[in-house]
Amino acid sequence: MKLPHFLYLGFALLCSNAVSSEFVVVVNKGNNIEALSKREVIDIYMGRYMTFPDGESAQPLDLPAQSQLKNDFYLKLVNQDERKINAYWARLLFSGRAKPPETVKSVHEVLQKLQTSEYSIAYIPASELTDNVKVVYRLNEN
Amino acid sequence: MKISQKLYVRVALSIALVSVLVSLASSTLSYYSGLNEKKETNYLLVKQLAQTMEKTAAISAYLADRELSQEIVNGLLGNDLVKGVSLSGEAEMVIAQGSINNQAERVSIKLMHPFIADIQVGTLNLYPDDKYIQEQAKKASKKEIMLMVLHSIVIAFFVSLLVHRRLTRPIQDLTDSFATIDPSVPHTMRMLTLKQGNRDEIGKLVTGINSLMHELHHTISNERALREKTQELESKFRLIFEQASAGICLLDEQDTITTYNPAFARYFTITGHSDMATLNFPLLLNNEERLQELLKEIRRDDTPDQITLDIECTIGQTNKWMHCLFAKLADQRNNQRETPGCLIEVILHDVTERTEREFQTRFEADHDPLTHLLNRRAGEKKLHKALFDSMKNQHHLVLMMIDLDKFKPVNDTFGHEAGDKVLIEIARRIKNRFCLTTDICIRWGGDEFVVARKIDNFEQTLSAQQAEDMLQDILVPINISEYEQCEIGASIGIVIGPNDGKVLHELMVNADNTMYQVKEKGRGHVAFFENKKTTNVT
Repeated sequence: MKLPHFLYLGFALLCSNAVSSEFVVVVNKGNNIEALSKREVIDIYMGRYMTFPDGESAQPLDLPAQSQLKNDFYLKLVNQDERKINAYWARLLFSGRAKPPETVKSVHEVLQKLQTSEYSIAYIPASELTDNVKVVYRLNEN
Repeated sequence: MKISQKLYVRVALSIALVSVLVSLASSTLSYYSGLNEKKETNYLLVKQLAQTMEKTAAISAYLADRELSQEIVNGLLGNDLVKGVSLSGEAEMVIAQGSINNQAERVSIKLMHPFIADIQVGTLNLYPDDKYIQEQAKKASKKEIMLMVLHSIVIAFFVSLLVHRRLTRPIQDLTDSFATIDPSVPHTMRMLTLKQGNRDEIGKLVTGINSLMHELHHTISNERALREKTQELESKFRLIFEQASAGICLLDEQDTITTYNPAFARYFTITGHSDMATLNFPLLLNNEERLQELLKEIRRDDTPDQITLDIECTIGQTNKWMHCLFAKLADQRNNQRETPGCLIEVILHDVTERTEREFQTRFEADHDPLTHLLNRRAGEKKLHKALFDSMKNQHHLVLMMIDLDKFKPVNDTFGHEAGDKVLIEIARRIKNRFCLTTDICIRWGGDEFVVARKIDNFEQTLSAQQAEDMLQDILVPINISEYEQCEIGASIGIVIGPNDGKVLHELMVNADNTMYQVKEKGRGHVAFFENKKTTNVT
């Protein structure tokens, strides 16, 4: 009975922020990619790769700046908060050829964009997952 | 190259030399240690430089972003300390620039994945610029050396200045002042005037020298005055010694003459010779053994300090008499000598003339001027003594009373001169037969002679024979002139002392009587005294 108790505690913590603790990385249903590794997700989001592993160019989408969701996502993905991620991009602003992901206004808009754009990739809380998108990576707490 | 002999120049030069050497050595040491230090510092700096770029480099390596990497490499190369940079990243990206050969000193940093821990995405290598570092160290050392040398020179200059002012110049002054002093010229021995009022060592030295000099000056002046006095005295004494008419000499323990004056040399130098025959004093005079004894005696403590003596000596062919004064010399300044009086001073002068005159006078007083036999007064004295001696020694004294026979007619016939000649001739014959030194031959008066001889054992026949021989001698004719001669007889009476008289008077009376008995019995023979009667032996 120890584990449910632990889960309950974590759940209670996340609920207090009114944010789901679980993110999923999703793509257009028509995308050939079925699953991505964490590293592949990082490479795409941090600008290393501008394509999916199958060679199609990827278009990563970001949630608005200074949103709890964005901060949580990056903390979970690369263990760095949004400030550090901004600094990273700032470093690459003048000389790098990598570009930061495109920012959209809300999760809702993300879902809309995913439906229309075949090569977009985005992250959303697992709670807001719909059948219109394909989950390629599930970002667990650990 | 001639280096100045001046003390302060040499001191300054030595100090400068030593300090330059020391500073050079220490600079070399500091250069090498500084070089190492600098290297280490620079290595650290390079490392820090690399670390500052680590993050960006890691990102560029992760993204395999050549432009970013190039920028990083260029930025690092812009640093003087860095000679070469190489950056390797994902997707075989390698950016290298500058000299990257020195693998030993390179600073290598592992570039880690910016987002995933424990994954290396590349390497950043920095190669420090040794030459630059060395140059920096050199520059620093050069500056240090310059400073140190400058420092040394300044110190040497001031030290020598100080030494010159405080030490060498005062010493130089002292030396100059000292050089004017000539100990043989006392008035130059004035005080050293040095404006050295201070109480340091030099001041003390000057004070010491001054007091020493004062004392020395005093002593030398005294000595000089004393010497002058002594010289004056000595010349006086020398004059006395050398001009003295008396011969003066000093004898040492071996009776050798150590000192003598010209007069002494004159006395004992044979004419024609330049030196004295010997320096052994007793050998110079006659009767050497006695003189040696005498000198030995003089040296004894109990004898009086002075002895005078007339001594005969033979120099060459001439006989001289020397009046000698022997005096023991005790050194007045050194009375405690272990053999006091071992030196003897002899003062002598020639008394030959006086002595001869004395001899002459004595001879004349004791002798008959005509016959040169003893006169009656001196003869009697001698007979007294001889009789006394023979009684004491139990000897005999044979005494002959000789009276010439018929002498008066000769006197009357041929004159007094002829008589004198006869007497002289008879005396000569007596002297021939008897010995003047052991026998006593007297002209008793007129034509009477007495001859006495000491004998150990009286033998009448022997004495009679002697008297007979004497008589025969007298009987030989005497030449009184070229053409004339005469014969003289004699009557001889013999007495034997002390048998025939214990006092001289008695003996003489008996002798006289015996002689007269001979005369009465016809003259011309010899008779011995017999108690109450005279025996005629012939």
